[in-house]
Amino acid sequence: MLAIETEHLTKRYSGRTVVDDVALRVPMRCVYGFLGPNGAGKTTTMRLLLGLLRADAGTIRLVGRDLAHRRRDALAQVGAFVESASLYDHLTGYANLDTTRRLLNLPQGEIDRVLEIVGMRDAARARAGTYSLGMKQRLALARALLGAPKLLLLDEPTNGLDPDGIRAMRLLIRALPEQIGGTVFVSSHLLNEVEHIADHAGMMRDGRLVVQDEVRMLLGGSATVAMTINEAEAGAALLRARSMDAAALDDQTIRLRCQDGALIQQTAMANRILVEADFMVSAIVPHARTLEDVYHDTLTSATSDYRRPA
Amino acid sequence: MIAILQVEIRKLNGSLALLLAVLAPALPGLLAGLSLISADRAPQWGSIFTSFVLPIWSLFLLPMVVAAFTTLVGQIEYRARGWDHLLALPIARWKLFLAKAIVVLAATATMTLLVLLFAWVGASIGGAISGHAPLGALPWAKLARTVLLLLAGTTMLVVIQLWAALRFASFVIPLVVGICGTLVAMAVAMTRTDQAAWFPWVLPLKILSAPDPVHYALFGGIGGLILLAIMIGDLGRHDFR
Repeated sequence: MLAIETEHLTKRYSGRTVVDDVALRVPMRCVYGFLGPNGAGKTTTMRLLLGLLRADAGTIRLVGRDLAHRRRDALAQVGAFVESASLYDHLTGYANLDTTRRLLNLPQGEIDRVLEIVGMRDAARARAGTYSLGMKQRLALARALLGAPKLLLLDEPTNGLDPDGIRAMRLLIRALPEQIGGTVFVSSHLLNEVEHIADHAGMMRDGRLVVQDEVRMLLGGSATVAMTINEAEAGAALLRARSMDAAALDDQTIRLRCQDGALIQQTAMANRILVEADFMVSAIVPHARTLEDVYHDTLTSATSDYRRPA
Repeated sequence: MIAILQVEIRKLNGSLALLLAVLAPALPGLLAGLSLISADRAPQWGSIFTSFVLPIWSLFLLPMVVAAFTTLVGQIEYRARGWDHLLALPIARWKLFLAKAIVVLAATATMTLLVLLFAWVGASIGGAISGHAPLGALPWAKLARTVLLLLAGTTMLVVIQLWAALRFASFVIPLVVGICGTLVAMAVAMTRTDQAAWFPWVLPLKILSAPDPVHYALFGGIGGLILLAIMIGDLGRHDFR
């Protein structure tokens, strides 16, 4: 069973397709990073997943429940916050949680449990309007955790947080699959953040899901090396003539892309070719592939060839 | 449903809507007190309520207060982006909207009762100060009947205001609806035209002044319930953003 499964999910606004034939496959018990630039369709997709918007086409299954036909049953498995922490500022943090607890018919002790998880026990009696943004985000996360949902949908949870807040939220999210025994689906445009916390990732562009896979698979495939050399253009041309994937980044830097597992061998060969051709190689710096590389490679080529089930 | 109602009431705690619900009904009482202070003879209790307090409340204050109150209730959700949270919960949408309607209708009834209470207090104090204490007994039966008819008749007005407040993120729209409705009602009152007798904002006035107010109360009440059902259906399909 998948935590989230969509088929042909499509949403249009005024004739413009903002979510286009999206097929999400989100496994259970993982952190799934949902990436894409602003306006790519991430938030609209999340709103569709929560039933806040009605899809023009396609199906959504949350933890095995069809959202269209078993809405309440499906949403009972889900905790979420979308776009920003939606809190009633005139109520205390505790009262904010208590309103949701009552609506979900949960025991009183549930509030203490989620406050403990997000580290907000001491601040819960203050009015939510007095909280910092980081505290609001944590309280919203606590509210999403009420009822121990099997699936958490978090939209840009680190938005507006300072570095400490980002780190705290990152640690919190990373630990959640273990704590709740379920899946955390995190949308973000911060690739570095997602790389730190996610096991799986999907990338959106122009409403389409252009890539979806395990993060380790996305980061595999190739690595790059930056070589500092006296004449980068000529050196890169020489390497390309020897069937190597090289490009001059500036006058003195060549980027050499190597196949996965062949980094050392191909770097050594490139160095030998350049030295034998009387180029002066002064530095070789390997560069581990990041989600940012994957993102740019994928979104610039942007074909659905990358798409494969996670 | 009880839990949803409790949550809706709890959301009003500490909100501007609650402050309004307590302060606004005091105004007719204050005016009644001031009127008694400057009175040169003692009025009847009955006339204080039927000729002074209830007309002021039903023609002008009630529609304006309902417009402001429903707007604030709607803004509690919009300002907090509460819809995103509420509507993603495993709760039938119609229950959420019905609960809000019940709370607003109950608040309208409570405010009207507070008007009577404050008017009694205000008139008593004013009468004591001027030495012209109101005469006669309080016309309980007549007041109870009038208030019941008044509340039934304002159901449609309340539902229209709530609909506008929940449907639109901008607070301007429900306020404009309320102001326009009230201005029309005042114009109707001043020109004594019968052409707009069934206009929702005119119904309270008709209930106070018409020889047979039951028709107007029934129209406002039944029309309000029909509109409530339509409102719930509409909001249930609405994409809140």
